[in-house]
Amino acid sequence: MDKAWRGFLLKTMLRIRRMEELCAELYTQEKIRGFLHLYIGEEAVASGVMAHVRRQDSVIATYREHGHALLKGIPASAIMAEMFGRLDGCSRGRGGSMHLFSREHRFFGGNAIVGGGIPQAVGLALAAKQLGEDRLTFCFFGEGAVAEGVFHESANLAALWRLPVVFCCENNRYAMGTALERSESQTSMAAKARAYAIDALEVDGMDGLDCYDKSGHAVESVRSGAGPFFLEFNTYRFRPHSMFDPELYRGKAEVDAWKKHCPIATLKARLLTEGALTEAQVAQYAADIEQEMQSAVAFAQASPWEPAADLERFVYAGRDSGGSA
Amino acid sequence: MKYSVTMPSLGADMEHGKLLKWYIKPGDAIKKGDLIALVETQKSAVDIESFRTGTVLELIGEIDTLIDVGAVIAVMEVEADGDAADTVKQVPTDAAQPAPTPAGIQTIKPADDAGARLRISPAARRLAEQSGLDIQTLGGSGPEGIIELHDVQAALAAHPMPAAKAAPTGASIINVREAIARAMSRSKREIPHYYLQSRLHIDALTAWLDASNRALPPDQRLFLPAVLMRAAVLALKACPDMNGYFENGTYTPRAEIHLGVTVALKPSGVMVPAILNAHTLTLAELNAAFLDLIQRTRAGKLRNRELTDGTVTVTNVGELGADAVTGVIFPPQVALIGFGRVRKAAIVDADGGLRAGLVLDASLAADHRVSDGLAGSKLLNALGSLLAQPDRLA
Amino acid sequence: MKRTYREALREAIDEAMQKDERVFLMGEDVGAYGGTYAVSKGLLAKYGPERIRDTPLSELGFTGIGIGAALGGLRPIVEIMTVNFSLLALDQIVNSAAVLHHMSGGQFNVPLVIRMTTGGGRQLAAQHSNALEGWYAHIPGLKILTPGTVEDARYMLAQALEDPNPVLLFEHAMLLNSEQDCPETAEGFDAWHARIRKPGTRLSLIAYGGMLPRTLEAAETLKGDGLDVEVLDLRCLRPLDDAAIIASVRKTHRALIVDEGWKSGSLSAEICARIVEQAFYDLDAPVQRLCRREVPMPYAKHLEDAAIPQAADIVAKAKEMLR
Repeated sequence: MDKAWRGFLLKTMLRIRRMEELCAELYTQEKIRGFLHLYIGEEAVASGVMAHVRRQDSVIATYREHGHALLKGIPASAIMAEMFGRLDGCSRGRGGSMHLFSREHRFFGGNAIVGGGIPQAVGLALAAKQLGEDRLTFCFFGEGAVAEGVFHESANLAALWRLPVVFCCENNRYAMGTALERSESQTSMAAKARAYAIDALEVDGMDGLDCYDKSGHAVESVRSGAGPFFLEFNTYRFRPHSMFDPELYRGKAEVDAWKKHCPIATLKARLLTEGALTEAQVAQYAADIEQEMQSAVAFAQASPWEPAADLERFVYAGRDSGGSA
Repeated sequence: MKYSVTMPSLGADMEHGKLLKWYIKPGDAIKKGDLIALVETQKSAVDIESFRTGTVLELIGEIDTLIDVGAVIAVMEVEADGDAADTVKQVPTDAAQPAPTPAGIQTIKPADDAGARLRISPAARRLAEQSGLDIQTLGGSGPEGIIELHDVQAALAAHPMPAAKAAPTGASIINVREAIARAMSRSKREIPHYYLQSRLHIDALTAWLDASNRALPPDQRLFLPAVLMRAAVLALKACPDMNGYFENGTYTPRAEIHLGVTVALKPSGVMVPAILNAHTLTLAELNAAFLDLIQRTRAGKLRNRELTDGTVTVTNVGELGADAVTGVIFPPQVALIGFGRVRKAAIVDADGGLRAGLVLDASLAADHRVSDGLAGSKLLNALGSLLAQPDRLA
Repeated sequence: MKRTYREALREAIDEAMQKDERVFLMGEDVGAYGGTYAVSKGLLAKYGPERIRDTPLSELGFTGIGIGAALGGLRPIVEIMTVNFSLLALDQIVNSAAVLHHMSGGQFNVPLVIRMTTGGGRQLAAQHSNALEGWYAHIPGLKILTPGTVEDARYMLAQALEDPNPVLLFEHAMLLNSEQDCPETAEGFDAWHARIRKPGTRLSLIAYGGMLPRTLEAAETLKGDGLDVEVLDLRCLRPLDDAAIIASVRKTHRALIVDEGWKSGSLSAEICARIVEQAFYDLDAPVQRLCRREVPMPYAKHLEDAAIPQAADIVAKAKEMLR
């Protein structure tokens, strides 16, 4: 991967990081309400995978999806306005943090049901194959979702029907407050995928370059028509599960130890050392990103509320005015 | 510039937190991300961080007190950099765009506390109200005495209310009511009534009736009104000017006799259905038809023709206790035969003797456009003579 | 021309598959087995395994796949063998299919048809006899159709497929063998409104799906006894055809709802509420309901019959209301 590309990879991680930090701050000011699940610490995964995602590919993710949505192309302003619940949000303010959608960008959510998006990803892949389209489906989920029966049903069918899905399992070791070792008899997600005859790779989820490389391998495999591919990203979230999580289930020492492997810090250090990047460029990235995110916040703040009279619009498609029961 | 540190919201339902401990003091230089205090929430104690880099100026929040989310707990000096996040805080929040307010709560009207509630169906109540009928005067024929639609209809048929309001949506309800009102008004307006009366001696009739009934099974017992109606039918056969329709300025006598019968409803109210083709029925058949008609009238199960095709009407106010009746003809009919109650009276015999005996006052109201006193008298005389020889009535 | 309900369903699927390449059928035993109820018999040979797609026993999985396929541009017909097994797929139906359009601010819609067999009466006991279409009718974002006649079995599917929303089609198990005349074209056919199957004046009998034939039978019996009742077939449970229900009650002033769901919290309660809300002053008597008795369905025949409203029950109740 050439220098510019690696710089780009770092920049995408920085964008996610800054956006998530701002969201945290805005949440404490009650601008963002409900649940807020931050991706801080896991940026390498989204950055590495999304670098391979084309406009025509489909992406479906979890409630921790802000970074994926941003890198799929949804403007930060639309994402921020959605967090604020405003009309200019990418879901008209109706979804909030957990339900970012964009038809234009083929971003199918944002799902608050753990595992909820997995069969839908398989269905999207089925449609693409049936319609003869050059289109991959990328499905993001945590290792907690692998405990849900629907993962197994979906994996089985994706493999059986040889569907073009890239399963991206973001293993951050905790399903909310339950550590992986306490909930799974088999703690290798990749092993489970292989049990369904799906090719799988383990990835260093804190290393942006490893994420990029292995994702590329998966994409090549799926595009060749070999069926689905499974990537297990070993990663870690530096923040609690959501804003109101007192983190009683893990110690500060463990979190601090993982923070030393911060994907942004390590990649930045590496690129600077290799001469692939200069401090001035990094500073420029930061400045660009600050402007992008601050104007997103201003946009969100200025965006109007959807009129309450429109509450019943879009219950049913095909009839715009109100959904009668 | 000055920057206010506020109690952060750390969850969807957090309203306040308790400051347990400061990690900073005035004068400290702190960086974004540094921990500044320990706050206790409902879930547990949480470290809170600084979102800005700068110098601590003042600590405001008091230890061990509950502080509302959003309240200022400290002040810092930070670099002014046009940070929109600051703007977010400084601008009076939501001033220009108020959050949508929830719909006002509707006040609930207090329940109507009537003493003993009248049991009446909504449809019946509505018709009564629209017709100006006092529902307190109604009796109900529905289950458990509930006043139903047809109870109101029946009451209106007997006592047309002068102030009938606009028609409700149920077409069948209003037709009957209005038809009666129209009919009676039209009758009094158009028909030049004349009235005749005749006192009948009915000792022989009542004796015959008692004897006949002793020989009949209970479900075939003859009722006096039916006997009177039979006599009326037979008498009418010879009086074409009394049985037919007067319409568009012309009278048309009818061969068939559809005998209208006034049926009293409990506790009040009257309907006037017709026994169709009464002239083809024997006394026994007429008796049965009469009983059936009453039952179906009270159950609201009349057929349309029975309400519209009557050619002449008999009214037996004797059941209600009046001595005699001066009736109102139902247009387009041209006659109304009335019977008063059976009662003891003084009778002067042919030979001039005086005795007490049973009498009944029969009356005739007739349309003077069609018949005159002679024809009317003939009818009443025929009636009297038939009832004097009841064997001929079978 | 006469055909059975089963044949009508098959013709409907066949026709839909022919007209639109995007349509495909997916479910358990729809292909090689020919369909649990023989509805899709012969279709695998005609359309191949990609369009008549057998699935493993993965209701939640393949229903979610159906949603994804619909999002991706196909027109899937997901067959869930019975409404009993649909409970395994409830999360995808309620939390995704029903809400995606609203939650995405109108961007995505889910043009998915889910067909299920429903109802009791075949001595299949508690886990195979549910009638939950009234439950599903509670969920905004879904549309619910309940064909009670062969004609409806023949032509409702096409309109369900045309609708851009998720439509649940409930086919009653007891009707599969019933044979009736069916028009040869869908001209003038409308799946989305109630229909008066027998006009009348004294009482509105309101029914749908599996309860329709026995309600019509009861109406015939009542006619013989001189009681002229009206039978209204709801056909579409969501959206409910308020106008038709209210018009009927305004005419007759009395209503008896026949619903195979358990009485408490059933669709009949919703209909009763609407009648009270919109036609209270037209009522000459309280609205009545005949529903499933509140028990899990027992196996023994006489108990099963006692648990579900029968034609004789409808006649008796109607007579009581018309006393």
